[in-house]
Amino acid sequence: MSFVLSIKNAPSGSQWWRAEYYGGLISSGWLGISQPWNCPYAAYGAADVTVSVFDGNSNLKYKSLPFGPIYDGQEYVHDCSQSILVWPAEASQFRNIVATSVYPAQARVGQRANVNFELEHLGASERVTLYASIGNQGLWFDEILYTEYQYTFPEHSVWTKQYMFAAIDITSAISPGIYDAYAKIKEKNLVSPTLHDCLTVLGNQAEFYNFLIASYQKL
Amino acid sequence: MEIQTLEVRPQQGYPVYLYLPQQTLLEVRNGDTVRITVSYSYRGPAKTLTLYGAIGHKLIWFDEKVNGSRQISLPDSQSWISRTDYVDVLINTAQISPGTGYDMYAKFMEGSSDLVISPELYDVINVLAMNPEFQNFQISNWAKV
Repeated sequence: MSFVLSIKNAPSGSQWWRAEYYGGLISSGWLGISQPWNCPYAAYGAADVTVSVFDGNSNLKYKSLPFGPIYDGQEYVHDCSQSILVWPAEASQFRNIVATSVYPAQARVGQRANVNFELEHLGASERVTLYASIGNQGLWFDEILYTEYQYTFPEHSVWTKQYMFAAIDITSAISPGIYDAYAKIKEKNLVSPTLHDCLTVLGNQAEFYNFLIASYQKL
Repeated sequence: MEIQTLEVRPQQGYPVYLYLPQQTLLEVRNGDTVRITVSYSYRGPAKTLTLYGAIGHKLIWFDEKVNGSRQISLPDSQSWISRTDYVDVLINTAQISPGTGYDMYAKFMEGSSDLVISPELYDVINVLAMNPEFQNFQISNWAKV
């Protein structure tokens, strides 16, 4: 293998692709849309590489202009949306996850509270499971309510802050009181510090204060 | 200590044991209506409750003679809101005898449960009889006719 070429951002409906260079004499053959070409032939510094993308019926969906140069021992990605050659993204990384607030800060059973959190992402697009919980922080976090959902972070070439939230339904499983929250990325075991006393769960009963007869009169 | 939550409660009125509203004595007769107006702060879900007012005598318990009630719709509110509402009580002397020094109170009910009860007001209602009454009856003049 001399070099690796893959493609991204192919038109919707694309299923196959192929690449050629050296005057069309070297061809990848048919490749699945997400399959990289581990080219066994020398790159020769070729600057006439073309990529063609096809749908399931072998109809041409996209064809690039010739690009290059390419060299042995390198990994390349052709971005079909911009018709350019890019370096493959770094491996996906996350850091600095912080639970910032819960909104609304007061909620009743039957309502929904958003745990707002932020984190930083770098590298290739990755789909992860975001998780947030409401409960009480003691020696460990006693979770009472939680939610989780899948989210795909796009590719980021530099560390990029992402602002997220997780909506948690306030159910009768939680008693009126003041609670803490945290968020995490499940697969990465990346856990935010606990945000203390960020949610007040109100009782569902009517509350009165200063209930007095203010006046009375004969009509 | 770091303050995380600060609750602002509505302004406190007189404590119950010092509760001395301006009390005026109402004189009423059969067929009159007494309107009792209550003031309060509310926090909670939207609810339709029964505002109930009664006139009678406070003994060990409140011996109700006449009462009235009215449905009040309270809005959903997560913070304290101040409100006033009223309930009318019809004076029916078949139920409340003419007499002096009747007391009154009001409350909110949900179904048959009392949610909040006001302090009683004492000696605020006199119920007058329907029979003729005279006052300052005296000879003011005399003459030959």
